[in-house]
Amino acid sequence: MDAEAEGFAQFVEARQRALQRTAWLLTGDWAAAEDLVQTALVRSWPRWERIRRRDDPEIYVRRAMLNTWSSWRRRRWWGERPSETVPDAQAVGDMATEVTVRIAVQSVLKSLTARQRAVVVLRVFDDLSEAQVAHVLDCAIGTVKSTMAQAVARLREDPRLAGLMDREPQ
Amino acid sequence: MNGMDRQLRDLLEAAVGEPPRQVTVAAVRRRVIRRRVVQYTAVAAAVIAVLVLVSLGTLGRALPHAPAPATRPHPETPIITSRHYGYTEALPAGWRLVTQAKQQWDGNGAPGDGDSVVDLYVGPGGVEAWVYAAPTKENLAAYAITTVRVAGAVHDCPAVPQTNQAITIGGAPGRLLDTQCPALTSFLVELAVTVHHGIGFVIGSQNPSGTAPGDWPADRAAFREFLAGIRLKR
Repeated sequence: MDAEAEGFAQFVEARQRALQRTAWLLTGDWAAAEDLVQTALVRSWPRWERIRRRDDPEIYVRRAMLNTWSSWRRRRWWGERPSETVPDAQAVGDMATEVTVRIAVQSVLKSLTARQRAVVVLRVFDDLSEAQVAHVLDCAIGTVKSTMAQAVARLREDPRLAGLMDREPQ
Repeated sequence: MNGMDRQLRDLLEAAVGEPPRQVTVAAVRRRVIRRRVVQYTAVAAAVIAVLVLVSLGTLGRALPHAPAPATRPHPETPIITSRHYGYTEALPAGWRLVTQAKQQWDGNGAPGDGDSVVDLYVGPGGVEAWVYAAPTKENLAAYAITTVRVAGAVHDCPAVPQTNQAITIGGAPGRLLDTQCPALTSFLVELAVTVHHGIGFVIGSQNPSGTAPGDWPADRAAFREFLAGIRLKR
């Protein structure tokens, strides 16, 4: 294995978990999350040496991931609508609380626009700086700030989120 | 990070859990190879098709007694009549009808290429056009504003289109609106609207492959040709 391939393999091994978790928050589905990460990596691999030299590889891969997610969304764009509820049933027993939180968070995220969802996930969950989020989303830092403010305002008004924040995270 | 952000982060952390499977380099490599095989196969098929056409042409010229057709065939422009919306479309070169609407649009929402209420066409380079219509009491200016507002609300498009220009659609005055949506993508979406005898027509266009801005002029030109083929009922 040459140095480039080895570097790519190390990156995948080290970052696939974090990338998949971000992808899950965007898609709400593990199979789609895995597919999204794989697709972003497939697109990044042929340019890996250039990416590694010129850019922060993780930012580049995240950018590829967000663009891929947007294009998937775009293809199904007209079919997908922000929804107040998700059509899942709650589980019973020990997993009930965990599942309730998961369903509620998915539902709350789905109530945001795509840009708001992306900004919240990248800024809050992935802890990227505003400049990094702007780079990933290919927009101005001011846009990231205003989108984040709009998203937070929307989340504050959401009774489902208030209900969740009243309880301890599991 | 403030208190709200921290709480939100904890919540996301609690919700997300662990991925059930790892993404491995081997899996990525397999997909890269599959992708290349598909690309190379497509290129090879195109090359073979060109070679076959060239050799057939050479063969035709080499046969001195081959009977020449009495008249050169004139391929007629296919004309589509919309079952639900009544307009006709003289399909420009490279365009074809994918599907007619299964039912009429009820005037609500902003249907798109995948909806059953639209006539869907596909043109050069994969650019799509879809048509839907419903009665309206609005004039053209108001109808254009409503169309943009509804599309913006439903599909996360900017509230103001990037361009808004006067055009003619099937002999009736119309507006052509260019926008990018969803907002964080480089997807060009064009909406052409007209109101004719109390019916609001919307003709949308996009290239689902998400072409780069450098390819937008070609997509725009193809859509203009498509629009030029539309005739509305008198």
